[in-house]
Amino acid sequence: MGGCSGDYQALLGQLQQQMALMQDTSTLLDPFMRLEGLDKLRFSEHCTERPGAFPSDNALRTLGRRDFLRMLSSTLQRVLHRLAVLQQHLPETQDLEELGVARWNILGLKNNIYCMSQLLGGASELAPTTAAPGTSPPPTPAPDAFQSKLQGCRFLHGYHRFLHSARRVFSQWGSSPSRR
Amino acid sequence: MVFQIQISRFNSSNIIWVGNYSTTVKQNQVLHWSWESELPLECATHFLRIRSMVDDASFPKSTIWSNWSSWEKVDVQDSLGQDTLFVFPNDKLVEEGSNVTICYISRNNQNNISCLLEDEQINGEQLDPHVFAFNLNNVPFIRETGTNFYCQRNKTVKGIVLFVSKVLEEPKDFSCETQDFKTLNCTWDPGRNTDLRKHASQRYTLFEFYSGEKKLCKHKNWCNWQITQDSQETYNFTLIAENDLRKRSVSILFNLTQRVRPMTPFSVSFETVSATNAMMTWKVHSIGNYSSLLCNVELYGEGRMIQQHNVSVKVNGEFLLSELEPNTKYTAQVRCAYDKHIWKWSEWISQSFITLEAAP
Repeated sequence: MGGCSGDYQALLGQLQQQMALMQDTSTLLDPFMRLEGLDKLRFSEHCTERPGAFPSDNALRTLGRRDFLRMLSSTLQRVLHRLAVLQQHLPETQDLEELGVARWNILGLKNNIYCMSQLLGGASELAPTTAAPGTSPPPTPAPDAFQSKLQGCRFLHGYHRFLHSARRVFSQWGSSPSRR
Repeated sequence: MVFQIQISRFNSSNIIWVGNYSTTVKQNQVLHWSWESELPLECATHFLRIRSMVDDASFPKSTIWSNWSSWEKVDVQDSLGQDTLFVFPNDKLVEEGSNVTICYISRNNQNNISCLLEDEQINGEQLDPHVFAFNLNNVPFIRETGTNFYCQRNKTVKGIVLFVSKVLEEPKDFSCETQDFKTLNCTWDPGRNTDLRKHASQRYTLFEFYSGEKKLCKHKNWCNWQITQDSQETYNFTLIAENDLRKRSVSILFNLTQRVRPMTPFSVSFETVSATNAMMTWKVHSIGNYSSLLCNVELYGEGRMIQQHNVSVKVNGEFLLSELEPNTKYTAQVRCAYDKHIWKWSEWISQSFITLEAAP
């Protein structure tokens, strides 16, 4: 992980900025839908988040700060794996550039989460060993191309919603790093 | 023997196809025959029966059909699983312009199912209480990640991706040449790329008739062939282009000595440059024993070609450029060709020089 800033306010601001950028569906979901031909009005109703794929809004809000950071880190770790799988299904000639950018952004975000956890005195527990509580294991590999597309867009829909929810939790953090 | 085969769909009385298959038969031999259904086999139960007849002039009296076999039932729907809505065929690969039949199977009797091709709702033909079929004609290529067809009932959505590939073209401008009598460089224009995400299968193979040798090429528009030293002069190459759906080939016949394109000359230099003369020298890559090249020298002054000469060269080329103007900048360029048969010239190489000032 990169070096950590000890400035709580600066770190919190950075985290919120990163998430504000990454929660925007134009950074990943929309280009994926275009590439797969799912960017059709009538199809969008089917591209909804699969329940249990990501921690719910409520689950995020009820966690203590350190548990919340741990959940964030392990969920993002899972996203990285899933994005690698998505990459394999893409045609060589049409690399999804946004996928590569998203993976760098996630690594940057995880780094800041680690720094915030260190600042709160709990970084060592961030090793992503256990699955995030409140999330079900990834779906079985898609049997065919259509299911693979459907699972992909549902997953990315959930990813953006999860970042949106997590950002809202950060926005309710006070101005000082008091433990809770 | 001649075998007559009947195929029915949904029930044995609904015969949809009849055909004959003739072949010679040996004792206890197992015969194979295949038939491709335009309707995905998952969409309907199929029935098949067969009868035979000896078709041999030496047994004229035996030209009567045997009895029909009993109907053989082919039902895939039992193995489909628990879902209530299915769409077939899965991940089918077809060529642009072909016709495709898609079907959905609904396990319950609700008929509030709508199906869309990309974003357009389309109507199907009911084949039986649970099965609807959709005939797509002349399907276009839309994108490499496939054409989406899906059916929805309330929140349930099931679909398929139809992988429509462009039609493989016959390679154009297929030709081979050598620079050194060691390697033949074959090139061609492959035309459209027909590879898709899960169906990247477009490949090229070189086959040489006289040697019987074959080579799978790594690239889609060029391939090297090692010239064996058994002094084979004539080559009959067939370039085979294929993908999962189609195969095409083109052939060329040529004499090796008529396909020599020398490498670009090198080390151009000017020695003993005077006010009005310059000795131009250059080197050429050897192209086998006893071979010489014809080199073309052009001299440019003030942007205009002012001299042109042909020089025969074996290893080192030289030419005296004369009648030059003092204290003037010139550019000379040289290229070479195989003197026995000019197939193609090498690339040019050029170099500039300035003549000396005239003596006072």
